Amino acid sequence: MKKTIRIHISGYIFNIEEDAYTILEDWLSKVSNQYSDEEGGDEIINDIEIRVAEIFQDKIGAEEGVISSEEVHKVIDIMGSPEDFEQDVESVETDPKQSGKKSKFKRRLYRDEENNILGGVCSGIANYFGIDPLIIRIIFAATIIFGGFGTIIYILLWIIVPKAETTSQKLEMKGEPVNISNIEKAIKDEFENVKKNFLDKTNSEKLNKFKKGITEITDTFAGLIIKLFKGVSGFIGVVFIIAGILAVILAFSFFFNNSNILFFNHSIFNWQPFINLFPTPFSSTITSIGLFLLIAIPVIMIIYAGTRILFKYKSGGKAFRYTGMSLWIIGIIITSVVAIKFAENHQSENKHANNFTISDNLTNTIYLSLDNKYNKTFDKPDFVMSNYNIITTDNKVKLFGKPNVDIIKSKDNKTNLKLSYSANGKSRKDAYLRAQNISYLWNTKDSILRLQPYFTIKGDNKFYKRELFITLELPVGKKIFLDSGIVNLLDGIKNTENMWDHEMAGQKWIMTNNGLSLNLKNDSVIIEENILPQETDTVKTDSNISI
Amino acid sequence: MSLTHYYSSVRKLLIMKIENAKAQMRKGVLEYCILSILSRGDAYASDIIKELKNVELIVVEGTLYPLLTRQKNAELLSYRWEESTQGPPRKYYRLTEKGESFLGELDRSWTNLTDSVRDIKNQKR
Repeated sequence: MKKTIRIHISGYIFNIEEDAYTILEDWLSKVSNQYSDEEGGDEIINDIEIRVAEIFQDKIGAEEGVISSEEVHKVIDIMGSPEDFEQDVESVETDPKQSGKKSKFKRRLYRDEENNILGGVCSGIANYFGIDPLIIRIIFAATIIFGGFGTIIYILLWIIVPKAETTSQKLEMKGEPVNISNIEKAIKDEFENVKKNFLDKTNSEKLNKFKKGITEITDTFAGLIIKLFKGVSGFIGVVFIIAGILAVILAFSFFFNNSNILFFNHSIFNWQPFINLFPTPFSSTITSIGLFLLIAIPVIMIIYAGTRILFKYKSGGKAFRYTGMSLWIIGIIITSVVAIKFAENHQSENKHANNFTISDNLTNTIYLSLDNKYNKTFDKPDFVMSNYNIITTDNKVKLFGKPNVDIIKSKDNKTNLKLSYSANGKSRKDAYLRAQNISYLWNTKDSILRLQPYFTIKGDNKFYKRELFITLELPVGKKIFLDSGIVNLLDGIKNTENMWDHEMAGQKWIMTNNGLSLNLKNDSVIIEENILPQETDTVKTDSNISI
Repeated sequence: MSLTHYYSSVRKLLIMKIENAKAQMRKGVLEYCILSILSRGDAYASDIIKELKNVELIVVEGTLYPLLTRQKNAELLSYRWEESTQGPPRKYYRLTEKGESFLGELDRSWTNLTDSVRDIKNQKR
């Protein structure tokens, strides 16, 4: 489906496809330019248009026909291109355009106010060397950001270097020979430009002058606003670009362990701690490359797009875009592969358990509290990823986690402590071995059961999911006091009061058939407040301790 | 500038000069032919184009319109608008008196020219 435009040529109405219109319009404007300043030129253009309309009429017939680019090309073949019309050839001495090339004619440094963003300094310099202004602007922007002395230089140049005003100056700026035909050409070009914006359809001279005056004023005013806008938006654009570049550099230093970039040491913001978590150094490097590409490439592409729009850079850059795209896809592939590998390594789960009988006694209240003798740095971890692996660094990576404590009814009328260590691994055997690496400390003395708030991993510190489930089994009728410190470890204790774990703290509970209850029956009068020495005066610890 | 660069520039210059000369020759002749065609009778622009295409004097139609208008502005031609059944009015060209005498001069000049050229070509050495 194509869009059509309705046009008329010399009073003939046509429907024409959008792309055909562009071609036709281009040809017509070339013709128009060629004869516009000639005496009777309007008539020539008119005759040509009539003829063109005639040809279209022949080709497509009735009103509903649509002109496609095929018809337009046929018309151009028949009529010829504007250059063919004129058998006049310019005098042979002038060379065809020498755009961009350095010529041996005198070249002077001027500011170019026709191609300027701010003051035309960069354009002028670029003209002098015959290169694209974009390069000069990037250099300037870089010197401004990294030190700022570029600003001073720019302002100095803006003041000192004169702007190219007269035609001969403009030619000198671009290094084109200052001779009559070139000046004539330049003047002609400029005249055409002016004419395009000039209102020339009215008769009255006074009205013309008035319109001219208004136009001049609004043009100057608008020109100022546009310049200001260009300047501000240019500045903002540059800020974004620089920020983007900084982000990429930071990402690079993050992933590739280079703490000393940009003159400040940010060793905390570093990939280093994570490296230890990967099974092999190779996999950690690959992952960092993959993630870096994944994140940095889109940022770089945005920066690139920004510079192109900002500096009106027209030509290709296809190679850049394709390279960027492929690198990003590589980043995606690497990250996916790593993710898959990761899943493979963690697909099995296994556990092993330890059971302890703490007491046969039904009557004593057991006090459940926190063991304070643990590594306090664990309380302020550097990094937390889910509940299972909390990482901290003092030049080393330590993994630890929080156990889940549950209190349920005992089946054998004894008070038991069951510890279930669970881990993930490549295979069930692997997972079992890893589960054995979980190390946990607890003790009981008299009727006090002290649990530590964290379990640690001994052996290799690799990143695998590990969990510890602690189940305290109480026979029905057994009373327990929950110290407030233990509350963080509790995990959904079933109770008849429908309280949340944190609400249960600081109170004495009794185990019933339906979970813990606050309803302490007082039929057997037992003094609970004093802790009496017990036969179980031993300090029991986890058999897997290593110190 | 390297030697090859120099030679290719010289060649380009030469080609341009040849095209120049051809164009200059053709240009004068075209105007002469337009006037000749009109001397046989009034005609539309499209008729003139058709005749010139037939004898392969022009390839593209666009060449004609500037010439017609310039000759009209030089008062060698005039036109009037003729209604046509198939579309908008078309210009119907006519040779003016000035044009007729101009044509007469051109005829004489052409004969002289072709005679001279023939003589030179036939010169035996």
